[in-house]
Amino acid sequence: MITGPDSAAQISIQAAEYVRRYGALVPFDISPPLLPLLIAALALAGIPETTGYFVIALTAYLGGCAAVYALVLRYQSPPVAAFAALLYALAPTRMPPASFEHGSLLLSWSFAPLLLFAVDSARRNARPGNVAAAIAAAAGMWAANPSGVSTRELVALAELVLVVFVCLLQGAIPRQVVLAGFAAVAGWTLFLEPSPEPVRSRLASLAPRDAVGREIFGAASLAVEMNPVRASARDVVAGPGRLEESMLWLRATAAGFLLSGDHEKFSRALDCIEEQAGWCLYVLPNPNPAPVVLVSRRQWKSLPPIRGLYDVESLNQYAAWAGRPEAAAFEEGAGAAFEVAADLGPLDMFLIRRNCQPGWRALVVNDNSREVPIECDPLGFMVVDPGREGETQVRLEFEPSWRQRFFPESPNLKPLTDGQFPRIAAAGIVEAAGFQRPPFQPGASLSIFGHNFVPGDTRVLFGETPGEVSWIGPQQINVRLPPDVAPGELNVVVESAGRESFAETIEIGK
Amino acid sequence: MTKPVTPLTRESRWLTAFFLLPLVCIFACAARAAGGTPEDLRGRIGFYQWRGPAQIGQSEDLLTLARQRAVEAGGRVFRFYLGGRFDYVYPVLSPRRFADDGMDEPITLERIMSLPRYKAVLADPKIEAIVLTAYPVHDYGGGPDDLNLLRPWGPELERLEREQITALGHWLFREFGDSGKTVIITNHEADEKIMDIANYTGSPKAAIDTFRGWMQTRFEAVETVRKAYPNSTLRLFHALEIALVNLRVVPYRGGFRKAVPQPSRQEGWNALYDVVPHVPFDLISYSAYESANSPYQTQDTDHTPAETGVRLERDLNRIREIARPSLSAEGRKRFGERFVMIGELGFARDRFEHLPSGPILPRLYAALRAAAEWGSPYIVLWQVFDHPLDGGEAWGFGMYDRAGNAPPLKAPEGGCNSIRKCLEVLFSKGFDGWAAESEY
Repeated sequence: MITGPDSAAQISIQAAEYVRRYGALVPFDISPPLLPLLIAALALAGIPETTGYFVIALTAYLGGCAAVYALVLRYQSPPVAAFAALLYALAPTRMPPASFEHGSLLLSWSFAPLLLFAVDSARRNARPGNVAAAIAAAAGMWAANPSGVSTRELVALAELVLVVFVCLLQGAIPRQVVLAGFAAVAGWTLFLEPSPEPVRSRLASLAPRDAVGREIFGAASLAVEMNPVRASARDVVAGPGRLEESMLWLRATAAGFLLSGDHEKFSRALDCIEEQAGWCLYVLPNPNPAPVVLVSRRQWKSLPPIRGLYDVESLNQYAAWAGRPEAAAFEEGAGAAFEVAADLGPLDMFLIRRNCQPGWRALVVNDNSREVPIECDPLGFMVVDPGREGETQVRLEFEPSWRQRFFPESPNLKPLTDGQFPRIAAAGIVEAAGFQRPPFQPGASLSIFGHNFVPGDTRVLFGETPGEVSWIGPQQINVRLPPDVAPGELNVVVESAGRESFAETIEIGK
Repeated sequence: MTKPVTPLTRESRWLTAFFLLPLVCIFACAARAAGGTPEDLRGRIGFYQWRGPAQIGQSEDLLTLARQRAVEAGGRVFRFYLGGRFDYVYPVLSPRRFADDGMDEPITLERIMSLPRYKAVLADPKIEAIVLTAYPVHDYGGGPDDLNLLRPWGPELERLEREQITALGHWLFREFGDSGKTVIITNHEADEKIMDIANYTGSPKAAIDTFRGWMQTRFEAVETVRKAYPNSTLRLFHALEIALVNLRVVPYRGGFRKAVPQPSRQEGWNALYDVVPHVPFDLISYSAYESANSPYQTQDTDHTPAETGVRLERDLNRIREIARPSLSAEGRKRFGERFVMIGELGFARDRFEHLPSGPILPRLYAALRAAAEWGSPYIVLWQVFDHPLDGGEAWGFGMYDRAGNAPPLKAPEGGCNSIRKCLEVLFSKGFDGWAAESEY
């Protein structure tokens, strides 16, 4: 099943797989810990993760209603308690499938009536068991959703208070008001609360031959959520416009396919091989969307950082370095480990398209399990250089500390910022008069062609010396070469709105 | 009752020869001037089908589909990729490539060529010349892969190349020795690979050395095999494919790119100047985009279609001048002075169809005519089916799109309006017929 990038259910299920595989939780802001833990526990008992998710969600859903019933029953008659449970069952934030998509929230707010019930029990009789039950319910509520309070949670709280308040005060409020309230809640639930449509389509089954081992960009992905750079890239691709940058990000991340509903953006740029429910599965012509490829150590050393979401030049360089067709063997181990292997050339090293997280270590198996460092590339993937030629097998093991297991951190990367960088086009510096290419004479009038030049806030540096700018357009600058430049090669940099282009080298004649 | 034939006297034979020979010469020269007779052109023009995903909605493998469509178009030349990265069934480098073919390990060129869909190309009676873009297969860890030219040329690479090209050659003579066909073993655009190696290693010299070693070994393997079958009617050749004539691979921001070399700078490499003079070959294959697309100095595509032919002829002459000393004896014997084939020629619909100076078809006409009149023994059009869309990359070279339709192209009223239809005209009426019909 493929879902959209916003599918919380898919992320929870993937988080459970992660818990089971690596014995560690994922960052709480990505997936709260309790639901994945419960799914993983059921998986250990042989229940598949997807089934486990729905079993837990259903149990929480019914459990919450049962707690409301039990609580109201203490003060009212069984019909009233049943009415309260029904009202709670139909409350907007709890109504399937909306609540089932947000499993952690459902779970969290199923603990709320339990907490009320336990607090009420403790109030009536302060036995240690009742107090412990109240504490456990509060802990469960937190563990199911430890992140900040969202609008949805406030609505869920209001629903619970409303249900309990209305039912406990039954008799004091006119029956018509209660019924009107019930009708309003039910109406809102059925007609106004948008269903998040958790299962977008079954596009995966439409491309089984092509999709083997290939990432589908745009599908819900825990790996993307856990990597701020890739998450930023996902937002560029999912956002409107910016086709050039989106294509570069798709190339850089080396996915095999793109799942997108934005036909206006992608239908002229990529082949849609299957369309369903408004979503399209596009083929990405990446040279090799394998989980591990061989890359050049030489190019790695000169790879620039990616300075922002729209840093086209750095992305191009990254894609040229990472987009290699030479593959290596990749084998998932049973536990928190996997192996890569290849017959390495003198400049080869491994680029492993897995998040470069703290806790991983790399051992060269056929070199006495020598440990080699894992570096993070600009996209947050792992780079492993075994420093040897010939047949090489590297084992990667995940051995986080206890702290890292329970309070995990995302890779040490920051989300990329917005904004563009000035770019000088290749061979884009010419003499203004006849568009002659270098060499140039000192003092010559030049035109610089490129992109993202900001009129009014741009200067041109010839080495360290600013040139005399006579005109600036978004794609062209006319500037005079300083008269005192020395013959030889000279770096030219355009600085626009506080951001620098990469240097272009020109030749100055004698 | 048949009338007895009166034998010609000695005098009458001489007299006949005296009148007939000039006529034959005049006819041949006219045909050459017009690029060749339609029949001659059929034997020289054909299509390429490179790597790519399978056609949308087709259960047939891409190679079979492409062969069938190429043959339907009338040309008798077909070019395809032979190597480990792509099997014409699964996508390029798919983990499942060749998985359904039941091949013995290790996978080699000979074994791939023995697969029914590959063998069918050679067995097709309507295909006379087959161009194989061949890369010996080796598993470096990620499944069957091309010979890895990113590492320095050495005994291991040489052994791999020699063994597999030799085995492939023997297989070709064993299976098709009496077929009278021509098989050309070539590479894909030497300059592209030289730039790739230079970027990877930082050393253009390493790239040049690797390429020289590779091409030398390949030629020797082909030469050795064909000498073992002196009486065979199969003709096996080695072509060295280049892509740059005027441009060079030049340093750029710590890497390399293709550009016009600056006259004052010595740095700049390409296969024509740095590889071709140093290795033997039977044929040069020219991937002709540099000439056909635009003047190399400006890269501005918006120039009149007629200039396409002028540029191509100029560059074919340049290639011949540089390459002539390295031409093998076999190449000289078979191709003489016309030893430069066009390995790739095509125009992207998204780049050329809507230019103010003219759309695709007159450009194709001009380029084909120039190459044919120059005497290129083979002209390979890129390609049967479109590639998948790739963002901003040039797109739409195919005779057919990915859904199998022949996209209509701009043409004058009554003229042929697709590559498929124009080739039909060419193969029945020649270049003059095409020109007359389309008012070129």
